[in-house]
Amino acid sequence: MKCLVKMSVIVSASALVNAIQSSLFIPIRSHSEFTPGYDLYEVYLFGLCVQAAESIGMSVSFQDTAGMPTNALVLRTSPSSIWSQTQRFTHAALLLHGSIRLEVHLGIYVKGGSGVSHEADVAVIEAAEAARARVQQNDPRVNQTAIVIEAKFYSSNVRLRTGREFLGLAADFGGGSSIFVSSSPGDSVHRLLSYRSRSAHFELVPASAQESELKSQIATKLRDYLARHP
Amino acid sequence: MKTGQEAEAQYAELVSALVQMKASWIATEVEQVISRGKTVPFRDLSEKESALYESRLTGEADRGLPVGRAKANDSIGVPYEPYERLALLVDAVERVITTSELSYSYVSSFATRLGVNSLSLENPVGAYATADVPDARNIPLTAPTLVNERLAILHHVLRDEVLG
Repeated sequence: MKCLVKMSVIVSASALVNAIQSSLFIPIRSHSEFTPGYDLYEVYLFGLCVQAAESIGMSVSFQDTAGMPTNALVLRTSPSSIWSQTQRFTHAALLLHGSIRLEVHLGIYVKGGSGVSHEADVAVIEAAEAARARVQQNDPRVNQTAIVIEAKFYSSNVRLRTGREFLGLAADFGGGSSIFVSSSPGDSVHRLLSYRSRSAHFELVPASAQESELKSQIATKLRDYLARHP
Repeated sequence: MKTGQEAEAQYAELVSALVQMKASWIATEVEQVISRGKTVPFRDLSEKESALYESRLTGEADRGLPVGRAKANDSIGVPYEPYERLALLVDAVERVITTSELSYSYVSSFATRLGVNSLSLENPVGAYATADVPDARNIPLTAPTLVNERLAILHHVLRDEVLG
């Protein structure tokens, strides 16, 4: 009796390039330790903060660093000072009852409790504090910050080192403003952050169940912040 | 499912494709995961891994270090099998593409809803000393079409043809 062994076909690199490229609307980019830089994933999280603010009755407009309204958004690909005037980066101004209360920024430095400034991938700051920072050419203080999101767009499991770094960041930022968000899973990091009672969201992609949880958490933090800082 | 040498050959082809697309960072991240290996309960060790365990145990004992025999539930570190390495890379590629496409789709819809005319991602001055990173990149705000269909086709290629 003949024994038939089924041989699999190896899909060639060129066929894979064609298949992957035809599935993409725009080229693959990343924000990982190997290709540092913010990209669409961070812009998505910036958008989620705006959406969460809208869900609690705030309205939004966009402004550049000079406070001029704009609908042509210029966002950072890596952190810089909120007060830098070299480029007119855009932030979202969040209004409550007609006045600007908060600002959403992508990639700025925020001063922790120790007085040391840290990178904040996405930050929601008291508008008056943001204005003070621009005038004094200093970084905004974390006690005037409602939310700081640490975003990780990784392809594979989040490394434990990344979780430990976030714990250090969250310790200096104090309170409950820091949220860890990753596009990939990270069982050990999740266990570590959960044990230390830190907010973390893994495998967060648009339209996922985790997205609703994060948006709701952001909305709650914004509401609490506004209640504490009337 | 591709196993053994077939899985290794397919892994190499996928890495080569990623290099061609300037996305080799995905393979680098996966290789870091692979280099750490995985853990399995002692009772589930394969014959080959059991033999390696015994050899390590004997080696330590010969050096005068008394190491007790592992209990059935103790975790033992073992390398990933070739088919698992391929599956990790396929997962990573699909995760990156899916997240990128859905993020783009979200941003495009967000911009339209809020009346944004244009979106540019710019490097702060002096942020990068390399010419590999462009100073600024305009993100088209055209709503992407057939996102789910395109991702479903890619899912089929990766799961049914690459993993086999």
